Amino acid sequence: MSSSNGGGPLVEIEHLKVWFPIKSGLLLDRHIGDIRAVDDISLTINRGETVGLVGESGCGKSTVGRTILRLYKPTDGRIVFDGRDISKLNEQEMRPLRRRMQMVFQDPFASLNPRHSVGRIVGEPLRTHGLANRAESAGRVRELLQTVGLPPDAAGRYPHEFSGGQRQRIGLARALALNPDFIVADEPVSALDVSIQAQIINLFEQLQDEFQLTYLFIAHDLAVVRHISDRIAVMYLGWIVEVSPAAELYENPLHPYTISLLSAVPIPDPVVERQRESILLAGDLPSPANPPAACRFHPRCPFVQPPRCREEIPPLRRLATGHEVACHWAEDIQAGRLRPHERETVVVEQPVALAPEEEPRPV
Amino acid sequence: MSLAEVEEIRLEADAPSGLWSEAWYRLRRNPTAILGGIFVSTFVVIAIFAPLIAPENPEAARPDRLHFGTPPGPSWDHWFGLDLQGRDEFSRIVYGARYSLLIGVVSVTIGLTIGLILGATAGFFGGYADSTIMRCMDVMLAIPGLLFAIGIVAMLGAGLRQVMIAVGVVNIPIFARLLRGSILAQKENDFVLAARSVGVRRRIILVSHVLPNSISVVIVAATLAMATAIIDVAGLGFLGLGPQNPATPEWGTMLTDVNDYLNIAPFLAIIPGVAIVISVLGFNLIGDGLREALDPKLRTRG
Repeated sequence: MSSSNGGGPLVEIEHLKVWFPIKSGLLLDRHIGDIRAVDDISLTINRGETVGLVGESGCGKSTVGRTILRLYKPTDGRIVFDGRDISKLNEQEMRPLRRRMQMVFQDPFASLNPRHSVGRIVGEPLRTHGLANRAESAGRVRELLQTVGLPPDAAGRYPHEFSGGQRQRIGLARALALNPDFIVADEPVSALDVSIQAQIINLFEQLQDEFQLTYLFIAHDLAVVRHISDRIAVMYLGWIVEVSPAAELYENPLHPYTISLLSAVPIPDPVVERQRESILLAGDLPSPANPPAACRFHPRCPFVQPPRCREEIPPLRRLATGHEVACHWAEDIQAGRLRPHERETVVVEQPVALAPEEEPRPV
Repeated sequence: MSLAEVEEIRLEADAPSGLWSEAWYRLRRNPTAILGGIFVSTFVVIAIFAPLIAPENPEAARPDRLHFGTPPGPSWDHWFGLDLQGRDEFSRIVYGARYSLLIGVVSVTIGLTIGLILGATAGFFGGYADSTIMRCMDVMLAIPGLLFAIGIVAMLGAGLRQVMIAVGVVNIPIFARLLRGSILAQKENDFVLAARSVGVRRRIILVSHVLPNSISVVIVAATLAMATAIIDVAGLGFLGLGPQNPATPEWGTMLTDVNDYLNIAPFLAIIPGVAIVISVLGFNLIGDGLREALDPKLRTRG
């Protein structure tokens, strides 16, 4: 597929907001509030890169993916795809661009129409864009099925005849049909058995090399994301709280939320596992309809420092290591000057020199 | 070739692929559905071939065959006996099947067509179209079905055609609600989102993704509605709102006629009653069988 501009990042999100209205009323719906699923986030995805997007369920990570593909309408902010602002395009104007961006879904049972044969499902993008007649489409479908590791005669069968992993392969074949540049993978392996997960992840990587794909890989499983991602963005309640190269994030988490997430990942070494301290988060995820003021994480944060955390929004700022973090106290936590409340230690292994000057994100 | 391989091939040949063929496959293995199928097909065959099956003209009065004004009961010559005018009751029941089938099909078709159009519009477009249509449907549903039908017949005047229209109109909100709900549920499916992300037009998404998956509940409901339509029409006929020619062999009307003679000729009430019960039961059994056969949760996976 044609890559028009060549240089520059493939996808740029600037101050994206996606609010879903809450309506109520008997006859005429009154607008009584908003679910702030995504609230002012910025993210850059470079060509050929895999960006992992992690966070607990309900934090808005799927909404980000779907809004980039313009399946949802952004409330505010810009989405720039290959140098073109697509945030205000209508359905008609989006259609040609859809050839270049595709999606793989979480639930391999819900994402394939049970009444359509696999051939029809995988061939649908081709027919929609008028790229192939019936005969050509059949040939291309067989080719695509082989690419994703399915027998070509699967085309005549129906989705319910396949296992979860096979169905996810069918979903990938559909996404690849138009030769896209960019694929949003929305938790593509979280519904699969662990043994199958590895196969599908490897398939994702293999396809990336083969077709020069760029991925936004959404997941809640940190181990999965670590393996596939070049960079990782951590989301909490509609915000991106930390962005960092994958290895750096795991070695050296800076945001209290990331620190507590990583402390919950089991380490397959009983000695280490027994020694380290896990940080349990108090309370539940607050409602995105009524998020906490200032730092959204402050009611649950083990490092919370009132009053600043309650009064001042922490901007996402870039540190010297190339790490971006939205916490006022990242350096202090890093240096061990702040400790989690009511807990003794957090294992922070290698202190990294941090930039003295703060570079606040333009808001 | 090992036995296991043979087994596998046989299984593969047996296993149906498409959803409809799979539903059919399951329907054939459901004994109650088969019983319902037997009832309904008997009913349909009798209705279609009534002139060949019925030994006599169902409408010509033969008072000369009555014994002192009392109709004789079932005998070898007249299996179901004679009615109050000396007509062969068996012939009347056979022709009555025609009316019931016609009434059921026509009124369900009326309700289904209009209900589907309204339901699909409301479900797929949402917003004001949805609110307006569904509030109207709510108003229609608030009035008890039979009472509503009586009102419509009172407005249009008694008669077979009016009764069919009335029963059809009563069915509209049922189908509209059902399809709307089903469409709303299907619209949220990932495969609809997948189609949108590919760039499929809304119209095509509705026709090729949403409707085919929403329609199975409607098919089940239509089968069950056939049963209620037959009952409703018989009820309206019983109330004297049906066909105005008393000679018309409509089951409900036949019941009315014998109202005052239950003690001397109870069979004249029992026989049409049993005919109604069997045809209604047949549609109900098929409907239940279809519901099970089309239920996606019962489908075999992987």
